Amino acid sequence: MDLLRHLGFFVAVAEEGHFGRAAERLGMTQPPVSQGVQRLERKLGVQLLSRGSRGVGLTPAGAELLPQAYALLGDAERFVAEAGRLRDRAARVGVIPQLSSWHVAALASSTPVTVTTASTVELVDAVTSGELDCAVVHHPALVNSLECGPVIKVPTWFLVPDGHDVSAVTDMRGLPFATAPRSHGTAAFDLFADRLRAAGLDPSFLPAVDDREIVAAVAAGRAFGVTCDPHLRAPGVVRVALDEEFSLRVRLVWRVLPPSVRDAITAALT
Amino acid sequence: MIEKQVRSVFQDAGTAGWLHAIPLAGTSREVDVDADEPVVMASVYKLPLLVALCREFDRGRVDPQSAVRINPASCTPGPTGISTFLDPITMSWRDLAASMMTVSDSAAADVILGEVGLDAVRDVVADLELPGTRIVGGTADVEATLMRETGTSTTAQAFALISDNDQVRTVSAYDPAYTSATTPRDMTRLLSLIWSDSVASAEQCAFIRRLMGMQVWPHRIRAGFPFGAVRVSGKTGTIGAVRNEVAVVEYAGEIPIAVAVFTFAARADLALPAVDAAIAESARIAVTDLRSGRL
Repeated sequence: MDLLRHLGFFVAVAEEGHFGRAAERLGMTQPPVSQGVQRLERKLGVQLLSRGSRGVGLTPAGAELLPQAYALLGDAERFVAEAGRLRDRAARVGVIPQLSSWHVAALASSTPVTVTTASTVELVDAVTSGELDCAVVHHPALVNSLECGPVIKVPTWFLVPDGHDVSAVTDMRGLPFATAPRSHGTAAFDLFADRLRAAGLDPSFLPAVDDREIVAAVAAGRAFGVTCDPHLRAPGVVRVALDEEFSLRVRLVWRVLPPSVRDAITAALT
Repeated sequence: MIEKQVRSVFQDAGTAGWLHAIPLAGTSREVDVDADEPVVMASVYKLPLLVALCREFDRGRVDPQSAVRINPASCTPGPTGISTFLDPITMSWRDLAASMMTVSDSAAADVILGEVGLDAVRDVVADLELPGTRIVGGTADVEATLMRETGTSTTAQAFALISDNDQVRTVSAYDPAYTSATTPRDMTRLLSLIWSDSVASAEQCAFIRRLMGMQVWPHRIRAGFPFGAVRVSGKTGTIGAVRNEVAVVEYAGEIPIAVAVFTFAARADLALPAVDAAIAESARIAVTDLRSGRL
């Protein structure tokens, strides 16, 4: 027996005091409504309505149970609404600070999201604990037991102080590298450092979390940096195209995520 | 908290890690970092294989000193030992065992596995009660599977593919459910049985300990104990992102300590000195905690 549906009949009849008007309100014919209430009474073993010549009234038991029927129906309504809100709500997405504002906008305009910025280590924890639905993390990283998408290589550019003539990676010798600290994700940091070393550059590191801090250090002539923002231009800062091996490698990680959201985020980054 | 310290060493090196350490006498103390989780064995499997060979020596089925003729051209390829030779060689069974253990010679291991058979290795595992250990084959088998899964025709191509940081490859060689697997706790148990002369005759157990003591690799557990008067007898295992070593660390006049460290790195690179160093450091942290002090 569909208890909520039958309680709905009971409430309608109690309010209207008449089976016909209750059926009309419910958009039904009278027989199923009256049979439904009878079935409910049989099931409960209690008579809820008194059917007299002057219409339908509540029995004492019915009068006592009516408020609880209201409460149950109200709860059911809220339950369904909450499920719908969860279904339609924006996905909570985490991103690393290295991902540019341009990419975050590309992502946000393709699917409903709320965006949080944090380090790879923090994002993996947040997705694992369910605080976030998914995250774009720096690859390679320890992702524990999370589900992972493919490695996406986001093109990057070197940012060097104006006046520096750079035609090879080795031309940046002597300049510190402004980048997010190693603690944000040790494996990805070490991989990038090793790639620079293999190319002939063994820089010291200057902590700079995002494009704003990197641009400030570069414009001041204190460091070189890397950005994946395809449109970033700033006074005192020169962009130099980078070999593909220095691309920003990211991966989407999640526990439970609709494929449509997954695909939209992946497409926005590629 | 020792376990927490070990975990942070693994995390800093960008690797997942599992560790178990126990003193080989006296106490029930241990260091346990997910020590019952299944882990990929890689060449650590050569240790139970050596036990199986030594039991054949004991039974008189294989003569340790009898000569084996081997043509390197028809052997399992590998970076060390017989696989690097150009010309046919003749070697005794016990010297083949030495090459297998001291430089992790995969060609020698596959010749030995061919002689004793996989069932004999499985009998060792069952007999020594290593419930988390499962041996599915030798190096040649693992490499054949790897080539099939990566669609390559040489092991060099296969390893080049799995060492690419731009692709994330799920190969069965990385999955304890499909390849030879064990647990850190099983391996410290095996070490303790070898050190108590319980896996074969006392003579053969001494032979196993001697070979483990002659292992040449200085970069993993050995690097954690660069002191005088300490003996490290171990066996490493490496395949792609998997780096392992099981060893017994013996300070003069102290109770020996068995330690088993298994790792799986986030980076795919074939050389990751930071992870080797993390194996050394985690082993040192665990062993130092368990040391009995001078007796």
